[in-house]
Amino acid sequence: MILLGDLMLRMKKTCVLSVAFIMVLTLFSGCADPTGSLSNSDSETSGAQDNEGYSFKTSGIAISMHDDMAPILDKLGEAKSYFEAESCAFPGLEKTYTYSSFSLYTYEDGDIDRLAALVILDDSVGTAEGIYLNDSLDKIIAAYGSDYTHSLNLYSFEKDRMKLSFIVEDDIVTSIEYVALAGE
Amino acid sequence: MKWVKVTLRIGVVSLVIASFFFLQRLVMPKYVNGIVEGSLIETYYEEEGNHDVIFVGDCEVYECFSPVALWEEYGIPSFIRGSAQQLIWQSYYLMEETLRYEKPEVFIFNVLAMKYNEPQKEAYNRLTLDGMRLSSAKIKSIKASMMEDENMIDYIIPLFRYHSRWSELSFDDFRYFFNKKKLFHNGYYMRVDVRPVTTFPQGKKLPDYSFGDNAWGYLEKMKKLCDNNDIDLMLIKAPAIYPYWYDEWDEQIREYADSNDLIYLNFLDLIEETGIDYNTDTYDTGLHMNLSGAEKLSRYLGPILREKYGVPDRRNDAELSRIWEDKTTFYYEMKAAQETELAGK
Repeated sequence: MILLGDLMLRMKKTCVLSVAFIMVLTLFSGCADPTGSLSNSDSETSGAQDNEGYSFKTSGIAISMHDDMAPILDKLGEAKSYFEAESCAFPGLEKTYTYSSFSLYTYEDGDIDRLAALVILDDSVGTAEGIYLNDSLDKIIAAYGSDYTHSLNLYSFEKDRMKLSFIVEDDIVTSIEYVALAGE
Repeated sequence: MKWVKVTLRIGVVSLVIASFFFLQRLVMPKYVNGIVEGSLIETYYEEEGNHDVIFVGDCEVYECFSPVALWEEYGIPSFIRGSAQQLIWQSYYLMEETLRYEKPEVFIFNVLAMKYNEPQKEAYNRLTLDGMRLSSAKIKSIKASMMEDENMIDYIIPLFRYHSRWSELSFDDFRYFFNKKKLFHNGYYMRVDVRPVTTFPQGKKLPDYSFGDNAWGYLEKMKKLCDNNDIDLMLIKAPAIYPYWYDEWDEQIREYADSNDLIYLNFLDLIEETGIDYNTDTYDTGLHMNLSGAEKLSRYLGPILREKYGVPDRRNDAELSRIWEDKTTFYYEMKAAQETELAGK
């Protein structure tokens, strides 16, 4: 009986230790996201910070990636068209505001809509550094320098948490896009 | 004494394993409210097989086609193994896994996923991979889907990923611990509400319209898997107006379909034939179809499945008819419930 009691005690200890081991293993592994949340902002951009990247200037305002959209929309007035897309997998909307010469795309950061991308639609507006659609690659390099990444016909200039990209076809700028990047 | 020792050891090990699985089950998201799409993949395992047609792909399959309509009107038993932003390698491995359970006549793949050549986001991966049963197909799918900073073990033992949900547990986590409420109709996510298309967003200019090598590689693997198992592969593009489907993409798929003798239906080009009306057949301004739209697309698809692939009418099969009778009843109950809810708003 003493032997059996001893055995039971050892088993009990083993059991407690094993459960504790699982708990510890569980608590300390895979802690990349301590909230356990799988929100849409996991690998998206998140949070307002001082935006030092390239800005787009129009109607007397400077628009930067990750900016809160509310004051921007107040200043720009009603968009020519508005489109919203609900994510298949997360609550919340991605919104597109199209004005006559550019489109603004948003992402959700909690209750705030922030600027995810801006696309220039015609040559009546340009970047703050003076690049317009139909300009040449040389002009881009003169304005932004040669510290760019180049893939196919895409030339990108990354600064802080944003990227300014130009598509150049036959030495003519055919697309200008500002994109917010993820990360702190 | 030895048998006591052995028995106790087995008991302890069993207890530890049971505790582990209990915890895992408890903390895993249940996806029964809010983001219900996370429950889609696992519903396949409740089935008894016998599907002549299996759809794979993203939301453009699980919100645009109605298996009940295909059964009611053409006697075609089908299932949609769709999930949110299902990537092409995930679709491929779901096809591979499906063959462990049954051999359909036709696999239908929605080609929007060709636009992605690499993994996009862990959260989307989870909505497909967590619902899959552990199998070699699941492991290969995880391997193909993982982001750089992810670990295989977090997918195989989801407790490692979700342990911190411990503090967020809700009543639903206990309520649906063993069984979840039924939400779908053979993988179809029903919505009866209407929100018409008001604007048509233009696609942004892209530096390159070519689909990536990885995406092409998996499309080729799909084709080979089907060929090796004497199954037809059909390619479709649902009539969703967003995300934008570029003409350049369409051309590449058409060329692939032509050179491989596959049928490719781009429903964006078949609006008149299908009768889709963007004022009445979508619940979210053209991203997905509502029930009316899904039934129209299914009615168009049925005769093609019958005539081009010889998919038979199985309504004379008593056992199948009994199974589908239950499914049909649930379908109309949900439809009525949603209509009542809408009327009350």
